[in-house]
Amino acid sequence: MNAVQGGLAVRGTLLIVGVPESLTIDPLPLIMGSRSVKGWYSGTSIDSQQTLAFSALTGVRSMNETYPLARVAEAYDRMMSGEARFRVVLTMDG
Amino acid sequence: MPKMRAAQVSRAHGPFELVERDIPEPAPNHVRIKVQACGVCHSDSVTKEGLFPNIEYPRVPGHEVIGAVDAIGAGVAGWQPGQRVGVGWHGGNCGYCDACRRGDAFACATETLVTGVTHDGGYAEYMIAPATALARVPADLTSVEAAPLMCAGITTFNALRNSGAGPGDLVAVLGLGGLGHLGVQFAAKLGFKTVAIARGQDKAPLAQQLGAHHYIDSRAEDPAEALRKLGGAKVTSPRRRAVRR
Repeated sequence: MNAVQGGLAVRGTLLIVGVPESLTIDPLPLIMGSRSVKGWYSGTSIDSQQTLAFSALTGVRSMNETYPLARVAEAYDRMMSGEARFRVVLTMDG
Repeated sequence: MPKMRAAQVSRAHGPFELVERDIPEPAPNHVRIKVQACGVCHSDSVTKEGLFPNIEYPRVPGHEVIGAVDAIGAGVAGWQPGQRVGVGWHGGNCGYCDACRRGDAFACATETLVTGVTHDGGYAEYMIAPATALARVPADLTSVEAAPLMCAGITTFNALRNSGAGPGDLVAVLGLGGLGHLGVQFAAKLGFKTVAIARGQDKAPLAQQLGAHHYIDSRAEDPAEALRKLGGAKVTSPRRRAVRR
């Protein structure tokens, strides 16, 4: 961090949705271009519902690797490895 | 009493334990969900590794839950058994504190409820959730497809739609992993001129498949300079793993 702050347009926003170990911001370009750094909380149940509805409407789909609940440790390790393409999902029917 | 299978963690840094538990009964204003699918999110490490203070163990993680309403507690209105619902990180809210009444229920001041952290989550055949935490699931999403949308999806979609970017604005998504592969799709479908940034030329076809209009290989060029050449980004959304192991 932070590889992209310098790519912001005037009035551009650096939007933080993950938690980096640290975040370095160059203050002068923020001021000179009225740029922002902004965090965003994921959302509440109505936001989830709208995420689902928008995805159904527009064809946005998650890409997943599935594991039965009994293989939870393997599923968790796979997620933590960062190698999953792209999310890991447990299913309860196995 | 009928039993269910659950995966619990009994202490910070402890292993997953597959256990049999009593199927729980919903308290007032809560429902019981028969879980169909539950995403495994990096933030589950909060419970697994004890990253938040005062987590009570044993705890069942999981906050990307899709299932069917199975039983209804006293005082619950608007939900019926059989409805397919989702539960995410936001574990519920009181509805009466100042933040809730202001419309900022995400910042509920009464009790910070986090699914799979402050109460048991979806790594189980059944779970209990406050009715305020429930989302309806459209019929044309499978439960597996819908599960990651309860955290990875909402995180990217809700941030992008509230980012201040308008139709045609340049939006850059940094990373093409668990969040990024959704972030790029949402950005493109929201009408933004979408730039995907990742390491290596091999990710370029994926970026295009997900709807990106431009791809920047951060190994080959400086992403900030590449964005400036495209006119500068109205929003860039960087993504890093929440916590390193």
